[in-house]
Amino acid sequence: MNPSIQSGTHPDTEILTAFAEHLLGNAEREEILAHMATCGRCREVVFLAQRAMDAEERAQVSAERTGAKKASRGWFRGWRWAWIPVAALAGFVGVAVVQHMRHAAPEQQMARNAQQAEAIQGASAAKAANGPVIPQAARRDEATLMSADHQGAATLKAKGSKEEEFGKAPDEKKAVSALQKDESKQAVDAMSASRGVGGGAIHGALTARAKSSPIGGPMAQNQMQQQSNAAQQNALEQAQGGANETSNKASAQAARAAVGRPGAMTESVEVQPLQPAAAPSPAAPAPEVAAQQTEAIPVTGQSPTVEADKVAKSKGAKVKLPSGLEALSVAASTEREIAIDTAGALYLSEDKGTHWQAVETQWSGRAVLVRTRSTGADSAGLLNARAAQFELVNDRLQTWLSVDGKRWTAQVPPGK
Amino acid sequence: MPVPPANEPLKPERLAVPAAVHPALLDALWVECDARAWGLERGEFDRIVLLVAMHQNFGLAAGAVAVNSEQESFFRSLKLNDLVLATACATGNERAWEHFMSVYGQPLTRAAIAISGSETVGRDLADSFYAELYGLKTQDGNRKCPLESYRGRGSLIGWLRTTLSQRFVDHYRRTYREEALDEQTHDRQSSDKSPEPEPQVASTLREAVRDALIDQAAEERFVLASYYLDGRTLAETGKLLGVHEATISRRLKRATELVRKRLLKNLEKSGMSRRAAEEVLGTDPRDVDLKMDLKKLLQHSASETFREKAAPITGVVQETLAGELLSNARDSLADNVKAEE
Repeated sequence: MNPSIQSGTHPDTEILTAFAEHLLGNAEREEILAHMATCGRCREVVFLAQRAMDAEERAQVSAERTGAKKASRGWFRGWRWAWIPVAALAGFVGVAVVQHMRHAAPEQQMARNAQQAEAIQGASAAKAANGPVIPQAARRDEATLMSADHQGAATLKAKGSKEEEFGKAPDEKKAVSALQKDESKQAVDAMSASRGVGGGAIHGALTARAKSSPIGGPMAQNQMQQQSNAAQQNALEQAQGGANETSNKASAQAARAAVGRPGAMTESVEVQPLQPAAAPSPAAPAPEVAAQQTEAIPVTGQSPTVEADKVAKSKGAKVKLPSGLEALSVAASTEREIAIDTAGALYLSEDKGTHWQAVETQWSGRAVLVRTRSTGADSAGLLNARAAQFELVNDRLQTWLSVDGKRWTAQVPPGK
Repeated sequence: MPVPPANEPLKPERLAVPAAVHPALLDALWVECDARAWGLERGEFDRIVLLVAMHQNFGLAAGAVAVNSEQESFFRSLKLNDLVLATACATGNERAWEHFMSVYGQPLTRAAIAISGSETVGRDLADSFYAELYGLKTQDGNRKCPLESYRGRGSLIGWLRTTLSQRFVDHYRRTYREEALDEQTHDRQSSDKSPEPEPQVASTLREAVRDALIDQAAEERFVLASYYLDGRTLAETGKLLGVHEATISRRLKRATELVRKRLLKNLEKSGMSRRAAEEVLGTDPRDVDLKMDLKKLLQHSASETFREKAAPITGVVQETLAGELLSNARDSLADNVKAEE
């Protein structure tokens, strides 16, 4: 050992640690500072300890950062290879959608145009069957529709006015006006669907081609045929009877009312999930009970035994021993209590603390702890140990046992 | 009279006046420590706590008897978790050792590396310290573990760091004198033959410096020594004292000015005329070998500073406290003389 270190004159490690951690009181801190102002060795020790603490803090911070980076990288790495097929799939789907839109829009438009034309033809045919022959104005209108369907409502209005000029029957007017409504709607839809894809003239040409030649495909022809048949039938029905029309209108209104009342539907949907919350249930007081139970749980997490011992402790603080000193350690069984005062003397009470009597010292050293004996503490395996109620520990950490608090015997450790 | 059992593993070295401990307090401490998690039994825990309490007499003066409230406040002031773990390790509890190594193994190695500044030396230091902690050293046939001396005032990891630092500093102090001087240091020492000052002037100056420093507050002296002798930065010193480095800078400046004023005053008190004091302070401080004298003034323990090797005796006088103080004093006095002229 280097004599210059002068062991024994330096403050011990405990004090230096407490100084470095700012745990010393003012007086003790002043003493240490006064020493370290003149002691290079202690200054060096605390500065080195400080450096080690800083290094540890830096290591922790870097470890946290590394962990965070790894976590973020891990997420990216986990999905890194999945992005490739996902991107390829998305691209394929996008291309397919665009292609589908390009092909599907003209066909739909052609079908609509054909339907409109057939409906008008059907209406004129029905009129021809029932009344005077319609002059060529209707054909002109048909041609107009075929060539420029995107003009929609304006064209149809003009058509209507022309028909008025020719003196159409009221029924026909109704049928035509109903058709006008449908057609104007379809025309607006067609305009919005075909926007950016192609012009109305192209659609018209394609419709004509689809109808006249097999370019549009048999499916398109079939669809157009079916739709035109349905339109004809509707037009005939409308032309035949006002009663039917009235009933249709009524049913249509009813249907519109049913569809146009989303609020009512929504209401019924919304109300259902709210029902359990809104409806008072018989178990409503349950949360209060639960809260009461939660409050009843001790926050400190101490066992009921500890709480009971705290009560015993507060009771022990009020114990008046014959010596007049404070009882520092108190243990109580069902009928007996024993206590150690500040002088280390042991007292026994057989009437729950009312009267106390001194117990003769039967142990070596000084008693520092008395407690009731728990079953788990029985390790001696002796006959008297099993029945012992009290335990006494002296200042050498040796244990004595007693059944009645009066007679004490040393506990022999197992294996002795 | 029953015969008490012998060969108890825990033997208090010195017993204060024992005061009885209420079992309810022990119960509460047992629950709070949660020492059961790493395998400590209740009986062992009680023994450890009682041992610590008796060893320190509940933090009271010798002879005083601690009442229950004082006992409780004593236990609350301790790092009881660390204390119980350290004591259990010292008594050879295997599960406690496993817990200790899992919690403190890596930090201890990192601390040793940081203290030594070298990974190799740090690992060697940590390994030897582990062996010592494990109790491989014996004293009079008994296993000796440094953890027995831990009393729980600071944290266990802080105590381990400080102990490692002590080991390293003591080892360094034992061994650095055996190292060969490199040529540069040797040449510099041989060439730095400063002229001897006049004995009377040196003695007067020495007395004045000592008197000036004695009146300083302990913290100011610590700051002066850390800055001028050890070469610590303001940030390091501030962190150790728990204040900002700007605060340390202000304190250092104030302390330096105060010492300089007192130095002048003491020189005048010693019978020197103002002109003579100016002449003394006007002496080049490098001509005066004051370092050893200052050490004697600053270090009553006569322990040499750890930085001796880095700051050889005559080569860096200006870095010393006296050199700094004298330089400042000389400059200010020269300014005053010019102003008077």
